[in-house]
Amino acid sequence: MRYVSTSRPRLAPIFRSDVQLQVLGATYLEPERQFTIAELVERTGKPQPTVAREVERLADAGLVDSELQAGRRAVRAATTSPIFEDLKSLLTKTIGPKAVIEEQLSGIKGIEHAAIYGSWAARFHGAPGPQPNDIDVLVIGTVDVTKVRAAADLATKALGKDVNVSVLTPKEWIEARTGFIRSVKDSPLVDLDLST
Amino acid sequence: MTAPATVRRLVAAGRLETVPADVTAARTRLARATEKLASAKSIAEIDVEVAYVTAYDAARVAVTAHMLAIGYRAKPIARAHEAVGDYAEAMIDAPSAAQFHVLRRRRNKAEYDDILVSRADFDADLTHAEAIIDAVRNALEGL
Repeated sequence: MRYVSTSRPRLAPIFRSDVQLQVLGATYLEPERQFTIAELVERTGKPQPTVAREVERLADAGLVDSELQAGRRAVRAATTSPIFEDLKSLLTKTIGPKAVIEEQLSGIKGIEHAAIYGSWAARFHGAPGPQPNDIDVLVIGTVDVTKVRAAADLATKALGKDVNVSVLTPKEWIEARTGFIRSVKDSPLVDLDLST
Repeated sequence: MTAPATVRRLVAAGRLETVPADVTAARTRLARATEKLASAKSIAEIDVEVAYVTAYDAARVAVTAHMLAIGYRAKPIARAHEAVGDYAEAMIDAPSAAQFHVLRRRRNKAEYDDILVSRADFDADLTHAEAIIDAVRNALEGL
């Protein structure tokens, strides 16, 4: 999956380059996972030498762990770094799934409410379990489904994780005629702030 | 007719296989797809999730009708539906063919995981299923 540039006005000026931000984002938002350089190239959409150089800089700074495993470089967040939690928090708030999806959905007319549901929302609220492979989003309103799906596609590309969006009318949500809608209403949601 | 590279790759990978081309059987199969689509529309008011899965099935069956008409079928192994989608993208002359995988993924989520399937989701993808079936019908009329 190739990264497609989206604007990140909140954080981009702090980092020396977009590729640095993306490498930190990939590794710190999934700290239990290790990435190959090829995976980071795909995530960032930048050339291999550029990504490899950035990984080396971050490793020298103690922000990522980088080691050769069976001839391939394995990169992961340096979870023992004294600033790991702070940096992770900063990245989560700015380029994490919630922030990215909010950014993509903002500006689409007719959305009354949007939220993340399902296993990602459950993990967000502290439920134990593995990192979800995808993120389920519900959008309530009278909206152009094509626009909402295009926004979800951009979020998918930026996050390297499928963002599945379902569009419900306010009536469908209020009436909750299916057991599944009722169970989603009763489950922990992550409300999305689309006011900006 | 020389198959496009995508189809040759699917055959070489063992995900599609060649069979005798049978346009008559393909037309019968397309009629099944059309009936499934009608069922999907009629059931949407009662159960939109069942309707969604049926509309996806209708599109998939239509694509396999196209395959049969020119001498292919998906091997009944893992990822067979994905192979049908790859074939649709390469061979079905309609912009909606590129949406086949979108329908397939949502249907998979509905069948094997949990996802909200709303009336708006159904209506949007019903349009694509209809367009795929229409494109297959046009192709078969030319054979």
